[in-house]
Amino acid sequence: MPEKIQRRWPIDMDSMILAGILVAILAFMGFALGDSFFNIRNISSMVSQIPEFAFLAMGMGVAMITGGIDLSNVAAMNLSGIVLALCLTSSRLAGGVGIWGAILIGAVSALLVGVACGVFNGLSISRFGIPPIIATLGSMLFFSGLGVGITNGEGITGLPEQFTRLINMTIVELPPPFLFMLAVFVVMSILAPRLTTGKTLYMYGSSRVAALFTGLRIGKSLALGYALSGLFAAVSALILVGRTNSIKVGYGDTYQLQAILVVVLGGVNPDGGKGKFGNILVAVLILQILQNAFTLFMFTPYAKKLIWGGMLLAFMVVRTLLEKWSDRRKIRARMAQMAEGA
Amino acid sequence: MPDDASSMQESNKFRAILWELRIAIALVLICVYLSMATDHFLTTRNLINVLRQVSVNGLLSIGMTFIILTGGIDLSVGSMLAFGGVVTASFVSNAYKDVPSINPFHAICLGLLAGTVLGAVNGLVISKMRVTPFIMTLGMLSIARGMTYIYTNGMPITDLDKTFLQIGQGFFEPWGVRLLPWPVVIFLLAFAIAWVVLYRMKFGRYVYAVGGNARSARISGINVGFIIFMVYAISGFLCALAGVLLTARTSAGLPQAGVSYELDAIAAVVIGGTSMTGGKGPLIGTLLGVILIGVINSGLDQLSVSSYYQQVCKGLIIVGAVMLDYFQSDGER
Repeated sequence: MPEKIQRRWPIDMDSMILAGILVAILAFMGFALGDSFFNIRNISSMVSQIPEFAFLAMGMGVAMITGGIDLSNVAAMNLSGIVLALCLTSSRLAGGVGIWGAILIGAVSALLVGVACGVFNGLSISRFGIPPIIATLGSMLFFSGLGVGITNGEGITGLPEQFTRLINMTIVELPPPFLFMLAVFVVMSILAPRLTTGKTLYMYGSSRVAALFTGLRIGKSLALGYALSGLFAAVSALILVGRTNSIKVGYGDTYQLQAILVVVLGGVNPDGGKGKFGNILVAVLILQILQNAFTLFMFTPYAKKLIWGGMLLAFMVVRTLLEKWSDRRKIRARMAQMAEGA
Repeated sequence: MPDDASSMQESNKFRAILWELRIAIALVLICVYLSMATDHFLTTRNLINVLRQVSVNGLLSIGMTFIILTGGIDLSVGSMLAFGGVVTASFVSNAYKDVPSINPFHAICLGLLAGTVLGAVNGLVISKMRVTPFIMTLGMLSIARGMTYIYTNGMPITDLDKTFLQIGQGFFEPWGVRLLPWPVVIFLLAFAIAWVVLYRMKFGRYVYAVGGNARSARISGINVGFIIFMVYAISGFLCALAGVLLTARTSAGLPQAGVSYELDAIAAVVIGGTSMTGGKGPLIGTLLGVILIGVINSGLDQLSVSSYYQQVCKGLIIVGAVMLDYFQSDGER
């Protein structure tokens, strides 16, 4: 049972550490920046930036729980965003089915493109046994090449304002993408460890060989997992296109490293098998607040790169040390027990 | 019927040889096609140019081969290249006032040291802290690039020492005969040394043993952590060397040098037949892979294919090579 597999890493340790970091950072921001951080404009700009990145991070989380990685999801996001923008700007389509029809068709085909990208990855990993990092590196080049082939590398702008208004409206001060993101996170954290596919992927991540011998349908589950990652990339494309009112190959390239950082920060083991979506959400919030702080403190973009990479490594090292420490404590407890028994 | 059996064996043997030579055959076919399709491909000047261009990727690929043989991966090669390059450039530049300009040889040594230290940090964290190689080197990709930008303030370092530029632009001229460009000579030398280390020294056997099965390597008394540490340090050294050559060739220390070079290096190693799971693969295959990619790049340039499609092409080649490897190993089973 995946529940048991997860329990080996103390369940609440990651969550507690993350919550602690979040509170500490919020307190620091309140102390250091005060009103320039905690004002409606700043917070609402952060809230509108979070969803597109959160969906990418979730897709990356799915891939990393299986012990793989999805380096192609930003490229898939761009590709489906391009398909969406083409549908929206096509006057023939809008003339035929009306602007709302065009929006519906565009959204559906964008989601389908995302799923197709994911299935392509999943099949090349499960059917042909290509290591995920190579498969998705190759497909990243492939997808962005397709995007450039379609657009000639130029941006698509001038989308109908009905669409951008739909994405950017607010319900009780909160944009719908943000609410949708929260809902998806809740659904994912409830369903992922309970559905058969989810369980299969957790098991495959924690031990490939054992999963093979239990006769689980690994190929199907992997394809579904990467398809989900592609679907999330497409959702993030819908939000990105709506928010920026344009799309171009290369949008969101910096998200790739950040998505991996957030997923690792959220306690997903890069070797697979462990990870909770709730923690990924907290990590996304932490990253966004830090990002915002860097802007307010006016760090150079160069320093940012250094800091993201440093954080990724620092977190990995701390995790390993903690794990070693808790292993050692367990062994010591066992030895004490044995000594008592003797 | 003995005749049939032996002919069967013959044909199997023939197929095996064909399989072993697949990269060389592909290389020859592409060269033949390019020399017919374009006017300039089969000229000494162009061929030497191709060699000069591949020597940078070649150095990266040698280090990458060592690492992939141990079952790891190094995504930070491009960033380490840039860092080694700008450190050297800053010490031989007359325009860069923050550091004194010194003897080019010492400057190169400092650059190589900088790259080796970065690689050693990779190796230390991977072997001691057990951080997954691709996460560690992904972090290093970002850190080293950030350091490069901070060091240079995002500006290229120009006005380099004239004797220093010789190492990238000059020719190796024994007894007055213009033979090969210096980068090519250095690359071939590095390749020869790597070959000796890998196939004529204990260290090389250990590299293969660690990649083949780390546990049995440990049990047979190999210091696995040290081997892993060493291959990443070697990769860092070779990246910095490539950075020095690139800096000298382009006459400037560019902070953005080497972005996405890791793709080419991984492609060369994978095309060369090294298994991504480690422990299997010939170094000579990497050499052929490097030349193959160089020829394809130069050919696509001459056929004026846009650089984006070149990327797509490379992606397909990587995936295709891994698939071929899969089918081959499937046949063996």
